[in-house]
Amino acid sequence: MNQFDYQTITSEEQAHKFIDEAVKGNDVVVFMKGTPDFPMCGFSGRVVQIMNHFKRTFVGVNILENEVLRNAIKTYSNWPTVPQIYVKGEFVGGADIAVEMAQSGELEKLLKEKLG
Amino acid sequence: MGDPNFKPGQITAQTLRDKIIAGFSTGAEVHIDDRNGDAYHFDVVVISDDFKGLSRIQQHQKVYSLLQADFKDKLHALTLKTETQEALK
Repeated sequence: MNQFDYQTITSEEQAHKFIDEAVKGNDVVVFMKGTPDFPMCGFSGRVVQIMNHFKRTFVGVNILENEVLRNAIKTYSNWPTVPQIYVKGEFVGGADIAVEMAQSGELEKLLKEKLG
Repeated sequence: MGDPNFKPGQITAQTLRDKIIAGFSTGAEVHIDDRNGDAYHFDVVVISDDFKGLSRIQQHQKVYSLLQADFKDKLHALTLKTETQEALK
């Protein structure tokens, strides 16, 4: 996702457009604090672990890099916290839902259905 | 407010519970664990039949909407689990 330059985002409208393009143009996108290699928050780290466990590659967007983006991701999904997971453009949930779905087998099923 | 760790600007488990319960018309059972005793990391379980017919995301959104103002500053680490009464029977 290096083709995206978060720093050029200065308005909520731009941010929503960026988010929309990111989640629709990639199979799995995780908006998170930090990067997949260096999560800066326990909840974000948990989601990275889950995706790695299911051997799914994903695009990580570090919302700490842009304050506008950091706020816009919350209004985009009407969800007040980060991380947020999107599969094929659809908001799946945050860390708690991901953990619950991973444990119940729903997440693996969803990923298989959507991504094969 | 007898909590020695409580600092101004933070939220207590009791306030959190009151805010959540007030938003449920059929009543809600709310369990809150202030995990580290620091009024900052909360494990919250909400059981209510208001959740009937809602997806898990919608159930969480309902709880989050009641705490929206607090998420701006006071709340960072909230682990949430939602369930209907019915599902537990």
